[in-house]
Amino acid sequence: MTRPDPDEAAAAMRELQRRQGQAGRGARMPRWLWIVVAVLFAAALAQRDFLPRDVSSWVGLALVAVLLLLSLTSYSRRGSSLLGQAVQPLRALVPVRRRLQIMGGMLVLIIGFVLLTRLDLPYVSTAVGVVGAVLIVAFGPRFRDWTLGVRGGP
Amino acid sequence: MSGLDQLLLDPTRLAIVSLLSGAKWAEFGFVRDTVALSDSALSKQVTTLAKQDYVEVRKGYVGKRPRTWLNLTATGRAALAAHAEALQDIVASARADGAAHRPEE
Repeated sequence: MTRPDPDEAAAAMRELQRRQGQAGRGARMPRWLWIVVAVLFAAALAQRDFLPRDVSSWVGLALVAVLLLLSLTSYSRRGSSLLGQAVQPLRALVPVRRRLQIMGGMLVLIIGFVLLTRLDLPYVSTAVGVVGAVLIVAFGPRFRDWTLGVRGGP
Repeated sequence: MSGLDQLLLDPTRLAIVSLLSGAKWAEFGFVRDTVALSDSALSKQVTTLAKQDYVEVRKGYVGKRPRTWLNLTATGRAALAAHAEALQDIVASARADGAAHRPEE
């Protein structure tokens, strides 16, 4: 068996890491999908301020169902391709600590939102929806890169 | 060097397997473009890797378009991990040798 010399071995290690990074970047969601998610998120919250309560709960549920469906679609091979992702990410690579950080962050956001709605401010759901949508479009891709451990590069 | 895998000493195959190790499934077209190979060259390499059960190939359709997906199997992942460890050992032992033979100032 051929044994690589130390320089070749080091180069192979660098190549391995570079290729793993490329796979992560291939799993990025296209921009249009972030915009769709942001619009659905804003609509799901804003409709609470504009529709009668009996209609609002159904519309809200339907919009959340669409968001869930989009999320679940990316978990399948065909679904990922359909959403424009050439690579289906390997979520098993996400460290447990990072998963806990994300869940904790989500919990804080949900509690914050519930507390805000208790204040009975006008159009608070719309305001939260719009701010959330802007944050999703602006920082969503970077946040997803962080969760999947993808570093830099276009 | 027990962990070194003869199949993965080939730079092209190492590139393909490394790329697939960061994904659950990757489209054939993505792997082809990223590793800069032709369809036939990638097919040949994938066939070699599939014969060793390193890579799994699935074909299907997205809408009306045919797609081929590639996945690094558990066998492939284990082989890559062992190969990477062996490479790391080569680098580490070379560093240790270098440090041992460095003249004192």
